[in-house]
Order: sequence, then C-alpha cells, then structure tokens
Amino acid sequence: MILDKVFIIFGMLLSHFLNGSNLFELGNAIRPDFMVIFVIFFAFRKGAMYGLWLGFFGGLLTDTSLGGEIGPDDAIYYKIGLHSLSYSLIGYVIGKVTRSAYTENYISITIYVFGFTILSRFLTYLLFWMFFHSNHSYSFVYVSLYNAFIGPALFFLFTLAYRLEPDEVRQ
Amino acid sequence: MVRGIATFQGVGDFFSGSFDSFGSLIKSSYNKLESFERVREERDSCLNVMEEYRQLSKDVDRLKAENAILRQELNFPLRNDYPAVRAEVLSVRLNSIYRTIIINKGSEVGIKPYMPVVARALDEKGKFTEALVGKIIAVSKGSSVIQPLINSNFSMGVSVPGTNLWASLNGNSGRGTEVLLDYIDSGIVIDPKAIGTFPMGPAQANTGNTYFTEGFSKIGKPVFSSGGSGVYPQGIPVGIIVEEGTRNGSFKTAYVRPFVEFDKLLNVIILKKLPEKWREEWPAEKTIQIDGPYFGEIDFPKEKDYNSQKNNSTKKPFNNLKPLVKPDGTPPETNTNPTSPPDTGNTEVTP
Repeated sequence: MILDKVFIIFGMLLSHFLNGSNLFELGNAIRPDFMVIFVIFFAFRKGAMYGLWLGFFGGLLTDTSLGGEIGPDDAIYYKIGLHSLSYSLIGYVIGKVTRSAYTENYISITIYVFGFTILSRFLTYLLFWMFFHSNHSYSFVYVSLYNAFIGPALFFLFTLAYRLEPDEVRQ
Repeated sequence: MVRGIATFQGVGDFFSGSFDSFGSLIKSSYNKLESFERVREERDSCLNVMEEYRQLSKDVDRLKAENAILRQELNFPLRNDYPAVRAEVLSVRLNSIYRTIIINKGSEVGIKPYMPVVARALDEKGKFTEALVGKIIAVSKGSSVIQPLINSNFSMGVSVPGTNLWASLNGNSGRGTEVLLDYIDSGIVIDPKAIGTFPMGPAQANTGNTYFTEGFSKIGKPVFSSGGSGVYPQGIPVGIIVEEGTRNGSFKTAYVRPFVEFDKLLNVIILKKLPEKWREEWPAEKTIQIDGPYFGEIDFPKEKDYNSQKNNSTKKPFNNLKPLVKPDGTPPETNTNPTSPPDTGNTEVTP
C-alpha cells in the first residue's frame, strides 16, 4: 500500500520534471502539460478523492516553479495555490461527475483529456487574472490539443505502470 | 629368497611407477590449470584494454563536443564591464501561466534579484552575441528563478533602431515566443506596406509616389536595451522586429522575436549588476507631505497657522512654491507683494 503511494509520488515528480523539459517542445512554446494528464488519469481510475489530493499536491509542485517576485514594497509575492486549486478542482469534478463515463476507448480518452485540460487551463488563467494580471500569452487550445494527442498513450502507460484497469473499483 | 626379493622389487616398481604417473598427472593438471589461469588473466587484461579503448572513443567524442563549444565561446564576446557567473539551465517552463527559467546557481555565488541574465545567441547576421534572457526574480541558496522576456509581467525599455527614441518592450504579447514593442512614435515607419492605412502616417505615403527603402523599415532590425531603467545595461541585443502590430491609441506597436531561443537554452550568464539608483532625485523641498491621507474633511489651516507659515516663508524661500488653493477650488490670485496682508478667503493648503 505504501509502495503504491511512493510510486504515485514518483510519477508525479516525473510529470513535474517533464513539464520543465524542452524534450517535447513543438516550437512557439507549445508543449504538453503532463501533470494535468496525470491528475485526470487518477481521477478517472481512482475517483474524486485521489483526483482532489493528487491535483492539490501536483498543483503545489507546479506552483513552486513559478517562483517568488519582489514587489515594490520589498516583499516577496509567491504564486502558491494557483495550480493546486485548479488541478484539485478538476480532479474532484472528474471523479464525481464522470463515475459512469466510458474511458475504455482511446477516442473518448482523447476527448476527455482535451476538454479537461482546456478547463483546467481556463481555471488557472481565471485565478491568475483575478490575483495578478491578464496573461495574453497563455496557450489554451494548442496545449490541450497536444495533451489530447498524447493522452491515450500516457493513459496506456499509466495503466500498465499502476495496474489500474478501467474497471478498477473506485473509492 | 631371491625370487621373493625380485617379486617385492616388482611390486615396489609398480607402486613407484604408479606414484610417478599420479604425480605427473597432478603436475600436468596443475600446469594446465596454471596455463588456463594465465589465459584467463590475459583475457581479462585484453577485455580491460578493449573497454579502455571503447571508453577512449567516448571520451574523444565528449572532448570534441566540448572543444566545439569552447571554440564557439572564444568567438563569443562577453561583456567585461560587469563580473559574470555562468549557470546551467535546470528547467524552462514555457507552458506555465507564469513563464520562468530555473538555473543551478544561487546566492552562494552572489546572485541577487534584479540581476540581468544574458545568453549566447546568434544575431541577425549569424554572429554570436550575448542576447538578453531576462532578469533574476527569486534566489535561493543553490538555485535561482529567471523571469524571461516572454513572461507576461516582463517589461523594459528598448531603443528603436535607427532613431534616438525609446519604446517599451512587454512580454504579454499574446504570442508564444514573441514580445510586444509598445509606445512606438507614430511617425516611425515599421512596415512600409502598412503606410497609408493609418491616419497618422506620413502625408506622402498616400500619394503612391513615395518609395520607402529598407532603410526606413524597422522590420528585421534589432532592438537593444535602452539602459534607462537602471536594471539592464545599455546596448544588450534583445531581438528583431518581425511584424507591425495593432495600433495602441496614437502609438504604434510591433512584435519582436527574441534572439534567445528559449526552448534550446542550456546555459545562461548572470551579470552581477544591481539596479542603479535614480539619476535624478526629487527635491526635498518639493516633497508633498500629506497630513490627512484618508477620506474625510480637509483640515484647512487657520489664519493663525497661515501667518506663522508666512513668517517662516521669509526664512525658507522655497515655501513660496507651495500651491495656493482657494477652498472653492478656484485658482489663487497672484500676490506680488509679500508684505501685504493676505485675503481672508485665500488659505494655503498642504495637499
């Protein structure tokens, strides 16, 4: 049981490092978001609570890479909480809403990954706009399309690695 | 007796022969084993030598690659007006809402926030140059976070090529890896094809007789840091103007492609330069002291206070510069005679 959790944490760290890598860059800053695919996978296969917590910690990990910024009052402003809120919301919603969703077909996985990636990015954008400023360079569609394209392959790999078949009993 | 001795001798010979043959067997076996062992040692040494040769070819490849990089570095002119630190890029987060680059050097080597970061890049003529990457925004002991040019919160002043004017460079361009050059003077030609489509363009453009050569066009021209903000040194190449953007009020905009390719960034150079102090300081005598900064009734000074301030004003001539405002908001009357009594309705207000 503990080994399962350790392996999940390892996968989360791997997703985080892959997000910072230039390996999958298509040019023009278009690259996939592995962390959101990871959260979507576990929310589908393990349910709302896994989606919530993995989304929270995965988002927190993503937020750490945003860094702090010294403001005019010499105070450092961190952006902790942006991704953790949006990812945990996405994870929870997927786990709750899509309990009876059909995810055994790769086309359906593609559609789900596209939809939920764009939703998570929209939520993150909205939070960033509310607390900081409007970011015109934040990609919604291209990253979601990229995620949708590699989503089925990653779902297949995650299924093999974590031995989580689609008919796994959800919590 | 003799037969007995002969028989015993025969038995003795048989046994001694057997012992001899057994001894020779052991000896030959030992010799063979020894030879096998020698062969094995020779084989192991050969394998080691082969492994060394294999490693040698890898080392040669690695040294060749390193040599190529060092040769490039030799042609790469570093700014020598500031001490610099080279760092390796650990992570480039371009798909994030707040784009950052994380490097492997931090406060241990003296990196501090607001230090400019440059990297080796090819300029518009294909030569190596140090181009601007961004600035340090956060530092820990062994790592730092860079805010790159393409970060949505990034802004700096750049000089417009071919002119003595400045413009503002903004990372929030709405494009993947391009930045926006904003507040360009409306008289500057960016794209010759676009002349005439804007109402504030040159008057000759609409006649069709004016032909703008490439010298007028700013497309394809590099922009450099202006140095006006005090954060970045003057003259660092930033990028090339690639396209004219939409008009921003009475100003023009343009898109700039940075020289640095952020998706291929491996090493960066941090210039150990802290922001300069403002060159001009606001005079102390012009500093506005706000007595009641909160909402509410303005506490106008009484006539007694005015008179006391008036007496002080004879000692401090700069106090005459303070604005005189009537309570009803009308402009004050010019009082040319400092000794004449003030109007009762004219009070001096500290805004």
